[in-house]
Amino acid sequence: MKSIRSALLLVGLAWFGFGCATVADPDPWEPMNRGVFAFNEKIDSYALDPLAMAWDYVIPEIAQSGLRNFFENLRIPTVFVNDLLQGKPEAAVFDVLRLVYNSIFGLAGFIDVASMAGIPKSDEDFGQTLAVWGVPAGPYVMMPLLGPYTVRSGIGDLAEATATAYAYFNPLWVEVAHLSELENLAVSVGTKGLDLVNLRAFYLEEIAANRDDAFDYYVFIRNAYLQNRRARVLDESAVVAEDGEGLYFLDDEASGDDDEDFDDF
Amino acid sequence: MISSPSRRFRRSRQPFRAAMGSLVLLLVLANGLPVSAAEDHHLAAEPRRLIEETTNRIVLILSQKDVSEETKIQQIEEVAYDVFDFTTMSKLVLARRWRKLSRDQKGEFVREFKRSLSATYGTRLRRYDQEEVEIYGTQIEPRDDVSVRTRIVGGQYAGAKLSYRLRKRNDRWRIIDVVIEGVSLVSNYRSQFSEILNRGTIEDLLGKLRDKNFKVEDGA
Repeated sequence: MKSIRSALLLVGLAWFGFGCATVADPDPWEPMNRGVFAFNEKIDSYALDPLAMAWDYVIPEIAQSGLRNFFENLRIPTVFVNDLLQGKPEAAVFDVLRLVYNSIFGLAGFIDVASMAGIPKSDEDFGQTLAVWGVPAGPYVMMPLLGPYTVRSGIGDLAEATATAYAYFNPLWVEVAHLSELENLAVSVGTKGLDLVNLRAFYLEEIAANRDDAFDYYVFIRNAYLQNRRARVLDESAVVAEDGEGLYFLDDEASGDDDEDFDDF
Repeated sequence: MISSPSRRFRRSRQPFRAAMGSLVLLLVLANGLPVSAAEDHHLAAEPRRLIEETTNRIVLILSQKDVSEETKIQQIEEVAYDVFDFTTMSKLVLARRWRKLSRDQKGEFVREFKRSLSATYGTRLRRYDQEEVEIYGTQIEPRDDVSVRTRIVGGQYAGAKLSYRLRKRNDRWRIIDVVIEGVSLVSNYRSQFSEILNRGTIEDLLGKLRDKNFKVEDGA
């Protein structure tokens, strides 16, 4: 009960603390964020990247994506709750079908048979739920070890972690599994770590290529994260969420050299 | 789409599956087919065909046997030269700063940006040799642009969504942006370039582009 109360407190905080401030600059804490980012990059290059490389070397790709499916399947109950909280009952029914299909026919979730059967996948999290409830995104924050967040998505994840931790530490569940609280904690930290290393290995080449291609990797990540979050809140992963910022507007339209082609210059 | 798993499970779990299946069907019907929401406007036919042709060309390139990786990347780059409108993309990426460039600077920027973008496109797509791409919808956008939405089927990136935005200029449809999982390439480049331009000049940016292209072509 205590965890639920603190989760609610966090939601309230999100609302009142950041509800009134409309943020024009999405990254007012840039100097500090850049510092944290540099730290994270160091940790990644000395610990996570080598680990993921080793993992990628030992574990075949098919097992990696299987494990990814497995962890995604485990997340479905959370997705289900968020679908309900966002008033999407049909998506919630699909979540249940997905969980049943993949758990029973998909070897405990390792094979995503639900997708093969055409059951739509939703990816809601509590940060997105807060967005649907009208909580603004707030500034961009780079968290040590955890990576990019907005204040809203960070509070969302924190509330989710608190709520799921409650499910993990529920005395009934501890009794059933015959685990001590410490063992329980070890299991949950261990699985989180496995999930992380496996995901990092899965995207090994992409991340290396992104680092190489970027002109300013910090800005690359910030822009990609914010765009992706916005698209996910709107459930439109294929379109640019905001044309309003004039992304496709040509500044020189009045000036007349509209038709000039520099491609073969 | 439902055929492959259903065949596998028909024998053992038929009643259960049938119940589940009809429930899915019911939901789908009640909500109007979320998967194939493609009513095609006739304006979108031409851009749609361009994307279709382009993905077919890429698939052909990737499926060649006895051809080196470098050659494939080069061939993909040539496809990019055909289908991207680099002039418009350069203008969008530089936004209000485009106007302040001299004619020579504009030419050089487009040339370097074109090389950089094509190289990125080539090295990225090279890895998608197991995947199939399907077009699942088109949309007429403001300013008579058209978005063609595609999604990857099969392989480890199954379900990933890629949207191409096209614009007609000089009587020719070409791609002006690629949006991957909601992340617009134009917006991403724009934010990085504006960071560089806020601190330095256009010559600094051109220098960075040249260095990067040089490194890529050096194989580093």
